Amino acid sequence: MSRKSPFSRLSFRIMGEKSDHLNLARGRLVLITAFFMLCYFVVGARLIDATIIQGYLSQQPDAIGVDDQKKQKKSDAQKSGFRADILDRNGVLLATSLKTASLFADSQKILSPVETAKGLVQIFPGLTYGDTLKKLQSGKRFIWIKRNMTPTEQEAVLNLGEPGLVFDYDYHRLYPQGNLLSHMVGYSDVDGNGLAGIERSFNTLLNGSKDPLRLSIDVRLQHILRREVNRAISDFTAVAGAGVIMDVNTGEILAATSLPDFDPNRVTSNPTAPEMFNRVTLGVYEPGSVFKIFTTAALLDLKRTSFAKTYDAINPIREGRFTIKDYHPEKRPLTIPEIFMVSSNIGTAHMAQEVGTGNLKKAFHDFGLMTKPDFEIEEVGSPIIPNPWSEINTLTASYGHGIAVTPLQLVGAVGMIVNGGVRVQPSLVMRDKEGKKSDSGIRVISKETSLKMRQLMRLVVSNGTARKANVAGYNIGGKTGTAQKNVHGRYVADKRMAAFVGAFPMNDPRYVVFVMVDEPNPNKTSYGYATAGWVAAPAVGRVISDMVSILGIHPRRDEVDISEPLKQFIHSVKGEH
Amino acid sequence: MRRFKLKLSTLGVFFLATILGGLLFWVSQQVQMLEREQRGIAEQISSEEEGMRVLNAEWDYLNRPDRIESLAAKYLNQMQPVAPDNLLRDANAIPEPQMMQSEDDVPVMVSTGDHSVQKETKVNGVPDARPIDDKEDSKSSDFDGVLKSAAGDDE
Repeated sequence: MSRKSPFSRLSFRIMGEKSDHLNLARGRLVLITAFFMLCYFVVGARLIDATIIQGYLSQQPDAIGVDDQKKQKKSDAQKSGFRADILDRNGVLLATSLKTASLFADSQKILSPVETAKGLVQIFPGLTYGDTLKKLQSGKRFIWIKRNMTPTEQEAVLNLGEPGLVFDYDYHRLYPQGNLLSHMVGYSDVDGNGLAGIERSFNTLLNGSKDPLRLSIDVRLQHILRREVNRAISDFTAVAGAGVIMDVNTGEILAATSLPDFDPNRVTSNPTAPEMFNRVTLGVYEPGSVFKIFTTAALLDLKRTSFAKTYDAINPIREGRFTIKDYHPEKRPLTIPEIFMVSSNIGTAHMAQEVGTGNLKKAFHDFGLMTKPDFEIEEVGSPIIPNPWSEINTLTASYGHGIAVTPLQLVGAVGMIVNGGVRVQPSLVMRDKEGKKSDSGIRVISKETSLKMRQLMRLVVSNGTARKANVAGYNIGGKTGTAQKNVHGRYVADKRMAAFVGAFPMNDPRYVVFVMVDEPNPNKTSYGYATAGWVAAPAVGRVISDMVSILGIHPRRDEVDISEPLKQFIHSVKGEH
Repeated sequence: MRRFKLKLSTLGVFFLATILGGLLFWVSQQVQMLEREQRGIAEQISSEEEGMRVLNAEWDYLNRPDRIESLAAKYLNQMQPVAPDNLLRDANAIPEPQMMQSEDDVPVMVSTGDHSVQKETKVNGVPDARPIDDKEDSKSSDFDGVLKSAAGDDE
């Protein structure tokens, strides 16, 4: 007992032989007590933590300006369908998903149904007082009042101060450009399922990603194109129209419009309504004389003929029950440039005979006119090809009758012909910068043929049927086409489809511009004409003159007209069509 | 006689355990607070991002080409979209502005071809004869109009 144990004060001593055992027992007791004390201390500390510290922290805002409501929003964001944005080539929003508040009511928590109903009817004029009051008094725990409110409306609802009105947050698809791109971008339903256009074909991708999808469309060009097609439609009291601008080297569609169109923010009409129909990709039309481009290219690519060779255009061709006539007969043998320039059906039919059915079909196939094209949206129409293809089909198809293709195919094919003869795939989705010159390398016609075709197309604008498409300094070339509409198997004389496909600058083409107007009627300014040269060609001219300043393409007034060498093959020409 | 003795090392270990326990508790508190803060910041970021999305959508909605076009037609009646004729390849082709021009000066040719000389003298004459106050007044009222219509156009 020389030293005091640390617990000596608390202890009493037992002397004797049993003291060792007792000491041991006491030691154990002390340890056990200490252990339990520690346990209670830990429990106590945890209690302080759980009640006081955590309680204090949960009273505090997590960070500046963030409160419980935002937390609520966050958890909602995870459940509702966010869709990735769709952008144009310059990053302008074409479709976006915004978090909006929807209002529902818990009628058991509503303090004064009458006041609340009055307030709600004032905020949302669409609601009726009687119905709303009935709903609020129904005793149900969950009543939808209004989906996708604007922030102003939400603030007004908050100002009612009614605890029974609860907000739910979800994503709402918004199309800031309205009608501008209705057919190409398409639209989606309330639950975030794409129902048309890019929204439909890229549905899974848009739902599963946060990265925006960038299209090749340029909204500025799209606006110009839509405005001018619209103007052509209203000037000539037409029923519908379509337009496309394509980059001939990459195949990127810079603008594509189909009128009438709709506002994807408020889709009310059923999918079969005329404004829902995509005339650019889904509609197939007999293109008329525009098809002479392909027949002529097919003939020139065979390298059997020369520009000087003349074809008979005096006598209408009679084949079975068909008679092929000219709109403005020249009544003399014509050279190829003359046939192309005055758009002679008879001459073109003779040229097709020289090409031969097999070669012509193969050429059309190479230009992508015979098969349903691949495109990024699902609304793509299949061309109507004569089956079986007989001799008469070769003759009529040569000038674009008895065969029907989509404007998209037409533009793609013209692009291939003017770009030097290389296949391009029209596409709506922006390519990477490296693939800028997407030379597929698949040659459909030779370079020489491409040059000759550009000369011929330039001739149509400088001297032929499309003089109204000309813009000084830009060497525009193209081909008009006025087709009579086929209604229930009969061609109707005064129902026409006027189209013009132009490309520029013809020395080194960069863009194809296509405008088609459905059932134009003559007006005073067109002197009773409603043909493509009066309806569609001026529209293309206006589109080009407005788009060059946006694209920064300088006029080249010093350059020689590439159609100049063809002038020697032109003899006296009177017709205009 | 053996006595129960608490060794110093045992005491030390006990003490250390308490300190470590306390330290652990403190660290876990810190971590929880930081996590809370981080969650808060992340929420703030996402709410800011949402705000940006709304503003972006509004910006592109207000910059629709047709709206810009109609506003330009309404308020910029002197200015037209650039026509191909206005495009010049060479910056030197742009004439020097002729502010102080005496009467017997020969008018400088501006045009690239189409415009007649008479038109040129007009261009080189006083471009706008209105007094400055008048101009400023009309400008400011125009701007009010823009603001009003922009506010009214909001959806």
